[in-house]
Amino acid sequence: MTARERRNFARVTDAMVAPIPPLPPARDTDASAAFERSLRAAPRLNALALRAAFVLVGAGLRREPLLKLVRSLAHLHYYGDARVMRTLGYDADAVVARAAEVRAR
Amino acid sequence: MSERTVTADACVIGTGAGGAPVAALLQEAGWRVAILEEGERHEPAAMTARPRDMMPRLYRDGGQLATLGNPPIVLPLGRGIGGTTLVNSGTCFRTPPRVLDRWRTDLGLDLDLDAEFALVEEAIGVREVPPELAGRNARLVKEGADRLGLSAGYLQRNARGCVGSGVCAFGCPTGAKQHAGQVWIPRAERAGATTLTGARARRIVVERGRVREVHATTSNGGVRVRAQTVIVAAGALLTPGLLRRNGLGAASGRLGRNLSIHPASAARALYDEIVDPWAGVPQSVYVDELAADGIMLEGISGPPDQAAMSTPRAGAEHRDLMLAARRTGSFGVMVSDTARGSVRSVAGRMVVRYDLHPDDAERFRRGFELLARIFFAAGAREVIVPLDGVPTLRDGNVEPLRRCRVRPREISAMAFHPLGTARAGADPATSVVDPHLQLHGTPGVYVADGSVVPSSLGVNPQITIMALAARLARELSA
Repeated sequence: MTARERRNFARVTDAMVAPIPPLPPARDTDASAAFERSLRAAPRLNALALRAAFVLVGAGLRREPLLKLVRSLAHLHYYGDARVMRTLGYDADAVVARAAEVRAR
Repeated sequence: MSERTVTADACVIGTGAGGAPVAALLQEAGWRVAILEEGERHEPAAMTARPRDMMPRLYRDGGQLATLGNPPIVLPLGRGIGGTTLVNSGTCFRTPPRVLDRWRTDLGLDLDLDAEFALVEEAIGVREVPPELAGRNARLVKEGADRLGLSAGYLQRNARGCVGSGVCAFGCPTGAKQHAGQVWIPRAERAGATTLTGARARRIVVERGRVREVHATTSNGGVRVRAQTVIVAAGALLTPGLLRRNGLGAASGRLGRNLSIHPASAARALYDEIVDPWAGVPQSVYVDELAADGIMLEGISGPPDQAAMSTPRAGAEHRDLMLAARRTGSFGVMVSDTARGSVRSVAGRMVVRYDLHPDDAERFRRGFELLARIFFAAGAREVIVPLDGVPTLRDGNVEPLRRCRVRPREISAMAFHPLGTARAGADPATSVVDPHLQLHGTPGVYVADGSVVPSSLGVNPQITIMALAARLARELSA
């Protein structure tokens, strides 16, 4: 994504998530970097369509199927941030540490 | 770039619920087996318990594969050693007797799978989820169902040493889930099988009516497997494309058709108590009160990012639900679908067409109505269902859900069990493989994955697929 797309992604994500304390704004999370990783795993056509979807919603298009897609992706990538998940009560590091102990036994 | 040649008795394409057991059992019976897997190995120590970050690593197309149709339905498939069993919930059901009866009557498929069920269940450690591992989310649903006098119980799963990490669908970090890549592939390799990862099967060479070899591409060239028996087990969405590209299996016109997907969706319940829906086995309880009507309720839950993606509502309303994530439970509705879709290749890409049937939309409504009653019986303050136009339910009132008429496009669904695209049957005019899973008219080429399962099972299919694969191995090695 370009720098402009990243800014747009953060803006759209903030609109979808509507964060208030203790939830941080999207720019203070790793949502954008994670979205780029998801784009790299997607088929090229899908990746182009997803980038375009965020641009269109950022430009004000509000068609429901498009909005549903963008909302779902924004939620996934925002709430997957480690700090956000810990704020909500989930600690992935603790799950992984316990699993390592189990494997070692 | 180089090309490697491997000589084997059998070449197995795919390492999921079908390919892995047939490979292991044939090798253990004295065959020389070469296994081709497009994905890579994923070890438990590499799992991060973060769904968002695991999806691009473990899922085909980063988990973004979806149907074209009304409504679009996400179809997550695993990619790697173990196939989709790497990312399933581990739930185990034998093929329901009513389904086996229908196959016998309608398709001439007389399958006695009891010995194979026992064999695969022993191999993958199937046992009932202990209540203490189920997590509060699932136990509340069980309590609610019990209060209403409904048929419900703890599910059977394939796990050994599970501690309830809560992320079965995103890579088990303890290695407790006994998926195909954890059990069958190591067995095959210990017995001497060769596994080639990163190898995508392209050509199945058939000469003078007999299969001769398989060509696969790899990152550094290619591999040629010379074998007199080829077992295609790339899954119900990929097997048809591979066969079609090679001019195989298309005579009946059924290849790639007859796709059932077992659509699923989830509702949420807000409780006064702490539920921590990510704690415990996500799919640990079932309610089969409406199973005869093709409706199963099964647990589904996970970390906040997974929940956020599928929680209905938007903006501040969604955020407030997420801020209450520790008190929010969730549970799934799965529908044995009557609609049939298709899969084909367009410009080298897999395209899945599927329209949800209005009768199946009504099944979702009925499932959610029952689930809402259960949630309220368990003490929920609010219930949110993913049906457009249905408001948040409060005070035990399910009337808005009972009164509404749900159209397919108003449902948010996913699907996890694609089946039927190379279906088995006695009649070559209406099926792709025969009752022994051999392609009609092509000796030596077999199919052993979900594509041979002729109809929706109404339950999770991994035991059915593994049992069919075990039966194939027994017949071939007899």
